[in-house]
Amino acid sequence: MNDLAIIELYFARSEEAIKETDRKYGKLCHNIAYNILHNREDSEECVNDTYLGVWNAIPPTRPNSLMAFVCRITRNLSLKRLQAITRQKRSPEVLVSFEELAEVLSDESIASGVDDGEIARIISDFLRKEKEDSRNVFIRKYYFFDSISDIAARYSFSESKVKNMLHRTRMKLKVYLIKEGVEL
Amino acid sequence: MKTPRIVTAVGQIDDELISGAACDAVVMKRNPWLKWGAIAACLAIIAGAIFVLPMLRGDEPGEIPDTGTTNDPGIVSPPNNNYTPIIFDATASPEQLSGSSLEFIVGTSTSIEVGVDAVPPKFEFSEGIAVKAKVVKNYPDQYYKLDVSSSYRPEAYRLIQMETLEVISGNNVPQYFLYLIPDYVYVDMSVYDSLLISMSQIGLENYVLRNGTQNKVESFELLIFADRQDNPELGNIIAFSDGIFDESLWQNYTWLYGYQFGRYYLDHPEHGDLVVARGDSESTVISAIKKQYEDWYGDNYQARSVKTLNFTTQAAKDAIEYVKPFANGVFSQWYSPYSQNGELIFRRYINGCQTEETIRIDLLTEEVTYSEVRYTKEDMEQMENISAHLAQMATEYAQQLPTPPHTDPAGKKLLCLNLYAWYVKVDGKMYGVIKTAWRYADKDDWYIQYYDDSYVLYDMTESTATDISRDDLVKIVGTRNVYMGEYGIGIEMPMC
Repeated sequence: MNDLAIIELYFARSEEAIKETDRKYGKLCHNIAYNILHNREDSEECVNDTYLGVWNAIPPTRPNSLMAFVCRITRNLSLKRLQAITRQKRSPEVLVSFEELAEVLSDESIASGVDDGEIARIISDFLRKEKEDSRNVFIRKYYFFDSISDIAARYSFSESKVKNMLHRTRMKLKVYLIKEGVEL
Repeated sequence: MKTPRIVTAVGQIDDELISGAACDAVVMKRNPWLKWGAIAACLAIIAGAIFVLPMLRGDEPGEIPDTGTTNDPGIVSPPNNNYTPIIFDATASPEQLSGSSLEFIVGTSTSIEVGVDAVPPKFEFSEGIAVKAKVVKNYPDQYYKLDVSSSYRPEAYRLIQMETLEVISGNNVPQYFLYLIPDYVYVDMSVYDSLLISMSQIGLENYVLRNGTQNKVESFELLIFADRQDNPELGNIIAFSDGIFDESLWQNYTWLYGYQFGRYYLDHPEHGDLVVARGDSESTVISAIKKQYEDWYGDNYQARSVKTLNFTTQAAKDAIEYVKPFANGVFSQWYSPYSQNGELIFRRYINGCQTEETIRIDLLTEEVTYSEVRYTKEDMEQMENISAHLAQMATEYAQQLPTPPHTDPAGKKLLCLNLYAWYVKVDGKMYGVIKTAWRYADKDDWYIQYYDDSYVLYDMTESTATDISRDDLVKIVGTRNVYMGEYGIGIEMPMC
């Protein structure tokens, strides 16, 4: 079903809306949650919470992209849940992603007065200027938290190429953030 | 464990980037013209928050503010006004106008979606009609769609009458059409010899619009190409002067952010995907667009078609007569391609306010379905004009902003205050409802928002007006247009 039609179902307060969202984006949401949490049960709960969040948000919200909307909510909920998980149970791969991004821009190095929305806008600007494959590899890694091997398989790249691409993109992003005045 | 801020920030990157990475196959073929549109659409929404809201409150509706210029010729700075907008959904009274045409509807014959497991189209709005056109007339007034619930914030539009010079993609496109364009991105395009326009926003239609400048409701005889989800996709307009690509259209201040990307790709064509390059002729760009459609969709694509309404059954003809604008109340029209055969949906508006009365016509079987609730002439005679109450309330709010009942505004910024009004008929009794809706965000956040609302119920039989809780309201008039989510919590709501 078309996203617009699903959104109309939400506006009509039809529970079919959740079923259709699950049919279309359930797998994607589960992947995001599992990539972050590495636990089926927690992931399942996050995805269910996502649907509840979407149900409560639409209406009045009318998202421009339903897919991005549900992905965003799943990612946020999963990251929140990750904070409550004990250190031993955390996915090492996610923690590595955190560290890699923190090397690009640590909290301490962010210029005062710059909020997360501004950083997001500048990162979006940067990514648009990147080549398509570099951009998507970056997003697969740091938005969807895909593993290196999954990304390599997805794009038919070697794992070392993916690592190199990510390294190069992170370095370029760091320079861009400094140039834009985000990083001190 | 604390999540690094950059991780949070990456979670807020623009939708089309997420969609791009989520939907890609191993190797993607892009639709450059339309990708540019996606960027512009997204950014235009942001620009809307900056530009249109002050204008909605301005003394001269529709006037483009005098903003001064930057050092970059052709680019004008955004206005610095920082009003909190108050947006009125319905303040109009219908005015009898003669003549309306239901001759055309814009339909779809595309078949891109292939099963529930298919990867969603990369840019769903990219299916559409593409034409070469020129401006015939710019309408000076602002217009609003008649739909109380569909919009995060009611959007002001302008109308441009266009003449089709050449159809690049699509079927049965009329020679003249009206182009509905968000007011805050409106520019005078009559200065260009021709425009290549992607009508990707086709999908929803209204023949009846509220004229916000003159405070009346109008119907239009020409086909209106409306947008979808209120997303302007201005990257999908390419201007030409003397037969050569003219990028000055993209330099208008309403395109300020988008043009930065456009200019980058024009400066570095080797990095970009645009179908157009500096110095290109119309024919070159048209060829590129056609090739792009072919590359992008291949055999799966059938261009959208403008269908001619030609009902044969008496029931359908009667329904069309019944919903004729202004002849029997005011109806707005909406084409829904999502039912099995596609259907036309009409809704009655009275005094510019929505009712629950709808009439649906199945486009294949011509079966007509009238809603259970219908309004009679007697109903309308005894009705109060709640839009007058709404206007009064709006005046009061302009003097003194109301306090939200469920949300502590401390530490939050008020994004906008909306007023909505609608009619309800229950068990033969008639009511009017006015809703006041607040939308807040944390002071330093643009992502989490807080929604709050309050309601006033007008009982037309008893001639009373009562402040009423949501729970009590729902028991009387049901849940239509009533927010049923939890109050006082932040709702994750991307602005873009």
